[in-house]
Amino acid sequence: MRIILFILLGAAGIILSGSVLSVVNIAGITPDLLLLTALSVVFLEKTPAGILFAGIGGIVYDIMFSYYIGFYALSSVLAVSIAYAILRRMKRVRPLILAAVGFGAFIVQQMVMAAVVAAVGYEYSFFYMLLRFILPGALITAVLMLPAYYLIRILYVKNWMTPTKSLYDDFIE
Amino acid sequence: MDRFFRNKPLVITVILVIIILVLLIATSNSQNISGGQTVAGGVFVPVQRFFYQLTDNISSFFDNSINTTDLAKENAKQKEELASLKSELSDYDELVKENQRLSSLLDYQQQHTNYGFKVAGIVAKNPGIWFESFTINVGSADGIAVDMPVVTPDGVVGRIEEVGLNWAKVMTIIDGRSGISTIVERTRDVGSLRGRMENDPADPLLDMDFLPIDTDIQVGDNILTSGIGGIYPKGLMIGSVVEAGEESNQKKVVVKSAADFRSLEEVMVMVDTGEK
Repeated sequence: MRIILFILLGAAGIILSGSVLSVVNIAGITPDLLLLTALSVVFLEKTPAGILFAGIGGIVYDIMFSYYIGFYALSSVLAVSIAYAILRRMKRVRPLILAAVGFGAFIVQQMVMAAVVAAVGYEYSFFYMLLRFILPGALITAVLMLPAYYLIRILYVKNWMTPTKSLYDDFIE
Repeated sequence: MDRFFRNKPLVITVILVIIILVLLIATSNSQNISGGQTVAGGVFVPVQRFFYQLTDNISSFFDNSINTTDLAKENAKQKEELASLKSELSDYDELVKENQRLSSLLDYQQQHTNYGFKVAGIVAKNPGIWFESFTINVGSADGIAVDMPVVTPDGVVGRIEEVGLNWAKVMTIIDGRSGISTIVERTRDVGSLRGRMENDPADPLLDMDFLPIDTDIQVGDNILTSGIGGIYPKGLMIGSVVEAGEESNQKKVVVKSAADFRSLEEVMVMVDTGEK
């Protein structure tokens, strides 16, 4: 059940990102559903399952949308890994922490993408991208982190996504 | 296995990063796509097409509702009837719009009989901020190949950059990676048009380089494909000049594309550019 739900969440995130959210976006900024889901899993489990979800989901996302396979996956894995490193010892989840981690993870993700784009040799104005897209996108992620967390929490509360016993020692929620 | 995952987050991250880096390097220099990509794309394409069309129809419905709000207030007693009519009107408008789009595609094809076209629907758009590309619902099974031009009756949209069995990815001309050899219709000066990585989605613009410093290019001039480069045939409309000036002894020319990238729904792939 756990694996099936992870696959369903990943598929829904990818399909909705490319179809619904690319039409209904906020000033050209599309919420990153895969990142929101991966961060929520990290918050709820305190296990590296969120990192794996970001990596595998990211590769499928790249297959669907990116020219370079790994462009999105690499940045998402690094962003979620940093979030995991910060959150693994945290006992209680507070809304402000949720928002702050969402904000920070989006910035890390986009900074890695910016570095890859620059490394490949494309020119762009970093400050324009930062002010026009990255900071507003981080704000949107911070705001959406709360509903995303509580929606995915329902799956855990209903024991549909509960990790196995060996992982359960660290499972806070 | 789970115990391993719990205890070795750093190891997992490092392994994942190495795998992804290998994939990134391997695919950054190759235009050939793997069987895995073809299968994954094939599975997602019909579902994405459904959601894309559904969302587009819902957006159109709300647009129509907002546009008729005043009328609804004036006819408060007939609210229910109006709501029903609006729903029907929305459906009718959608049909009319679709008919108009397809008619214009047909007109364009009839005006360019020396080219071969394949009409394609947009399935998904790249949701990220770095690249301007989208996926269409035709692929190698329909005769689509890499580097084929993609156009609308308004103008050039881009070119095919990847092809699966029943899908293809299109890199638009407004993408920061895009570059096209162009000609100014009036002055016949040849230049190079490139997309911007930092484009505003609401008003995408392109930069024109390598123009002679003494060129008489003016705002409003049409920019066409030059035919140099072998991808786009000569004479296709790209856009018009919205800004022309000089900057550090070079012409600074900004072009607005003729194709409206915000409302793209169907495009045409030029499967035969008449050059073979």
